[in-house]
Amino acid sequence: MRPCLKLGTLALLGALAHPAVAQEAQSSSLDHLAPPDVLSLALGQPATAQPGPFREHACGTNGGPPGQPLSGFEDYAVCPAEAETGLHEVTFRYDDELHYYALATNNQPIAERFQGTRFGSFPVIVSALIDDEGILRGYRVVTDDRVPLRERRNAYTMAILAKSRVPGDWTCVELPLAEGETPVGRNAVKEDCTGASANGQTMRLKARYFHRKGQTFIDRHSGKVRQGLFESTARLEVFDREWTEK
Amino acid sequence: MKRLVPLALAMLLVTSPTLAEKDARTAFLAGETKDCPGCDLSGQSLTYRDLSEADLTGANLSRARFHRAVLRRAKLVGANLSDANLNLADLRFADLSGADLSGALLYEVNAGAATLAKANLAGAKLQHAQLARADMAGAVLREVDATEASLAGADLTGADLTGIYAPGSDFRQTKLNGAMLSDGLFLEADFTSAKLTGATVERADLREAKLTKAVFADAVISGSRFARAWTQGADFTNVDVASASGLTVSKP
Repeated sequence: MRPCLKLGTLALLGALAHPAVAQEAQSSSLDHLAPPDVLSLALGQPATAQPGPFREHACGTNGGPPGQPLSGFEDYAVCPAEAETGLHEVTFRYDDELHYYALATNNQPIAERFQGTRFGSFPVIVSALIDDEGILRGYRVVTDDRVPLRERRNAYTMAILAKSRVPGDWTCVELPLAEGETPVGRNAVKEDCTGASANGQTMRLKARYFHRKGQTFIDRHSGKVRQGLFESTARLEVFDREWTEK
Repeated sequence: MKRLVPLALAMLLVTSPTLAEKDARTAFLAGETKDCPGCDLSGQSLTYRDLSEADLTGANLSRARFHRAVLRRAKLVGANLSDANLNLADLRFADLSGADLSGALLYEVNAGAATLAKANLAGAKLQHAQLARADMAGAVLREVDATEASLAGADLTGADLTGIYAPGSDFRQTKLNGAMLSDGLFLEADFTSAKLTGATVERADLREAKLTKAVFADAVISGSRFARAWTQGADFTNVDVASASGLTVSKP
C-alpha cells in the first residue's frame, strides 16, 4: 500500500480538486499521486530506463552531499567508479511538485508527506549505483546529517523502517562500542545487518547512535550542554543478484 | 477543372494558419522551439522547462504545469493561465499584461519586476511570492492568498485587492493609489512608506500592521481595524479616522 492511501480522505480530496492532480487520479489508481522514490528503481535495468522524474542528478560522495552536477543518470560515467563497489554513484533528489502544490492549496498533510527526499519520514540522501555498462546495479540510502537536530536525533531508527520496506532475510549483529565511543544518555546502537531478498538482491544496513570519541553531552570544562555532538545515522545499500554474483 | 485549381489554392491559404499553428505547437512540445504564440497548450506539463524569453502571447495555458519553469523575460501578454501551476517558477521581467491567472498557483514564484498590468489573479495562490517592483496597475487580486508575499515597490495603482488574505506581507513603498483593499486581511503586514491615496480600505484588518510614513490621504477606511498598528509619520489627511477602530493618529 502506498503511503498516500494512509492520508485522511479530506486531505486527499483536497489535492484531487486541482486539475493537474485530478488528471492523474482519473487513471483509477491513487498510486500515481506519489512521485517515484528510490524503491521504484529497477535494478538490473539500464540507468536510462529508470522511472522518473528525479531531479538534480550529481556524482555521489559515498552517501554524502552531492558532488559534480549531472544532467541525468546517462552521465554516470563522469563519476569515478567507487573502489569498494566498482560502481558509479549518481545521487539525485525526488520531484517536489506535489509538495509545493499541497503547500499552495494549504493541504498540510500531503505537503508533509511529500516534503523533500525522504525514506518514510527520514530525510535522506539517495543514490543510484551504476556499472560500467550503464546498468543500475544498486542503490544507497543514507540519512541526511544536514537536517535540524530534532530530526537527526532519530535518524538511526531508519534502520528499523528499512527492514520492513526492503523485505528479506535479515541477519543483524550488535557490535561493541570501540574505545572512546560512549552511549547517548543510556542508549547506544551499533548494528550491522546483511540480508537477501527472495529475488536474490543482497542488502547491507548499518545503524549508529552514540557519542564518538571526544564527543560528550556536557562540556567537561565549561559545564555547558553541547547539543548535536553525537552520531545518529542509518545506511542502506541494495544490490541486484547479478552484481552480487560477480 | 481549371476553376477548381484556384479554389483549392484559396482553401489551402485559408487552412494554412491552422496547419502552421499545429506545427508550432508540435515543435514547442518537442522542445524544438520556445515560441508558441496563440497556441493551445492547456493542461500540458512544462515543469522545469527553460522558457526564458519565450513568446507565448495569447496562448491558452490553462491548467498547464510550470512548476520550477524558467519564464524569465517571457512574453505572456493576454495568455490564459487560469488554474495553471506556476509554483516556484521564475517570472522575473516577464510580461503578463492582461493575462488571466485566476486560480493559478504561484507559491514562492519569483515575479520581481514583471509586468502584470490589468492581469486577472482572482483566487490565485501567491504565498511567499516575490513580486517586488512588479507593475500590477489595474490588476485584479480578489480573494488572493498572499501570505508573506513581497510586493515591495510594486505598482498596484487602481488594483482590486478586495478580500485579499495577506498576513505578514511586504507592501513597503508599494503604490496602492485608488486601489480597493476592502475586506482584506493585512495582519502584521508592512506598509512602510506605501502610497494609498484615495484607496478604499473598508472593513479591512490592519491590526499590528506597520503603517509608518504610509500615505492614506483621501482614503476611505470605515469599519477597518487598526489595533496596535504602527502609524508614526503616516498621513491621514481628509480621512474619517473615527470611522475605523483602534486608530491613533498623531497630529503633525
